[in-house]
Amino acid sequence: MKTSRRSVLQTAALAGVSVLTASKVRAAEGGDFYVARNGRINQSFVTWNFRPLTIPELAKLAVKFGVKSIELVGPEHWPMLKELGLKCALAGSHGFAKGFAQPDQHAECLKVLEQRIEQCAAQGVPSVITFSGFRKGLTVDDATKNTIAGLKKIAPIAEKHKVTVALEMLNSKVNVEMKGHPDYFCDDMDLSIRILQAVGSPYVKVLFDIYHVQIMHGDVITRLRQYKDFIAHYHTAGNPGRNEIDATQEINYPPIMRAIAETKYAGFVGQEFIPVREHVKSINEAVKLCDV
Amino acid sequence: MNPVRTRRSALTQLAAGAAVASTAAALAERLAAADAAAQVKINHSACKWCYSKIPLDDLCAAGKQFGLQSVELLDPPDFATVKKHGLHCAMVSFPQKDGIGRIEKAFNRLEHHDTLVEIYTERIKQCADAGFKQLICFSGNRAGLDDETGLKNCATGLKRILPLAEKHGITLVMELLNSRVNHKDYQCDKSAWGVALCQAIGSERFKLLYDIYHMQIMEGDVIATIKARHQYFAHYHTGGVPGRNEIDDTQELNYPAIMRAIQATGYKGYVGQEFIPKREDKIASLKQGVQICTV
Repeated sequence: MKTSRRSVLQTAALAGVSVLTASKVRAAEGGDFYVARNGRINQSFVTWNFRPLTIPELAKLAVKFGVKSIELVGPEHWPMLKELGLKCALAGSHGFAKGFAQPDQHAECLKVLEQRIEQCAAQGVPSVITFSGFRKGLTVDDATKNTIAGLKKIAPIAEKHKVTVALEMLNSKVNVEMKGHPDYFCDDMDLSIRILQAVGSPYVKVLFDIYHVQIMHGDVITRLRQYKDFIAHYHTAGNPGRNEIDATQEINYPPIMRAIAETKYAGFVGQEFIPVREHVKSINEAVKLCDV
Repeated sequence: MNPVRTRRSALTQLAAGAAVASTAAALAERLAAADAAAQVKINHSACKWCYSKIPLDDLCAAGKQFGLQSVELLDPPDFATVKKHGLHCAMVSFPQKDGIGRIEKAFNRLEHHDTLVEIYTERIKQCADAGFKQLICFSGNRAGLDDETGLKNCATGLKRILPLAEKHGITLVMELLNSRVNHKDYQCDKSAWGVALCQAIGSERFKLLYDIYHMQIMEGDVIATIKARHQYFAHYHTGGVPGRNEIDDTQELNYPAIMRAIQATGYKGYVGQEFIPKREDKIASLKQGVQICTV
């Protein structure tokens, strides 16, 4: 990878290691790039992981690379996305540290979700994220019951507005900030599906984050086929490390994307990896890998 | 894409500047160690049973053309054939008597131990005579037995055989298998359980066979597991997930990245291809598997 080496060297020669990040972001904005063309997988960009790129910068890249959505951004960004012809495939809501496993957090989460669902309905945003929050010493049975009860409260509102609530399963194994979430309750895809079955609403589904599923379970393609009717949304990232999704890590993304397309999935796949190389180039490579 | 090279040339440049020289030197040292690990080549093996319609003689002759160094899971009558071709048998197949020794009926039951001691004693001697170093074994199915008792029973039985294995320098290697698809109810189905058994036994002559296909089905997180537990893994198997077919772009694992992770542990053993070729030209599929794992 010539560009990578050259830009690292240029930066190092000029100013030492401190400005590496800026160089990583700038490089590869010009020149050849891949534009998604196959239309079998609708792609989207999550934004927190691509910092220091800003939301407007990512929106412009999405347009350039044939990606149709920017997600997990608040309503204040939606007009800008609309102007660029982009969707917001998944709206943000409350953070992952709070959620329906804890009864004393139900009211707060419900309030945020209710308002966000109304905004989504008004602006054509199809889904909104939610979380279980932490277990904090609860038994699995109790946390399961609490989560079911909480999601049952939001289900009628989601149904009324035809906005899907997507419960995210996260890994609780990796003890590194933003790469794993020890003590997060909803860390098991099989249990997540049982919760959704108990809630029993077509508008309450799961966010299948391929990175988190690979860490907690493996057997990704089998699971996404098995649970296709319960999947509202997908996320990507390389494992281990949550970095680039290419051949440097263990998850082979193109066959997984083909398997997703074969389930007739009509939703979006959000790129949620943290680049360690040049951001724009890595983002473009990820778009290409998932455009099967 | 060669991240090691990229970082190294960046470091060379950095080293020229005095301000960062000490950091660069420390990093360069680590990179040199990484390079040394990368020079350990993966030794290639294939499991005979995946090519049951191809005579062993033909499999050996064909495999040698593309770098195959071993054909494994052989019984003693096949030893002479691989030796004739100058090949190794990286993992010898299990002995059995009245069904005992097989995947479903093995070390987790005390009532199997007398038979197992008898048949493994003979098989260890056959391995030693042939110069083969590793011999496979199994836990058996749970059949209602809890994991703690199963582990204790396995340790009890294996400890009866290990003095002989140690004497001959033969490693008994218990295979980790999936119990979700292929081997319902098999007890040694999680790497954590296998590692706990290794620790309970405490002999360098007892280790695990980390089958990448089976463990991707049971627990995922392959590279992190290899990195954390490789000292307990004496052998590796491959297979595409799902389906146990070719290990190429038709399935969900990135085998080259996994092979590089194995290399980085300093592993000097063999990787056994254990997929069932789906395509008609089975030898071509094996060749592709070997190429994918040549990193």
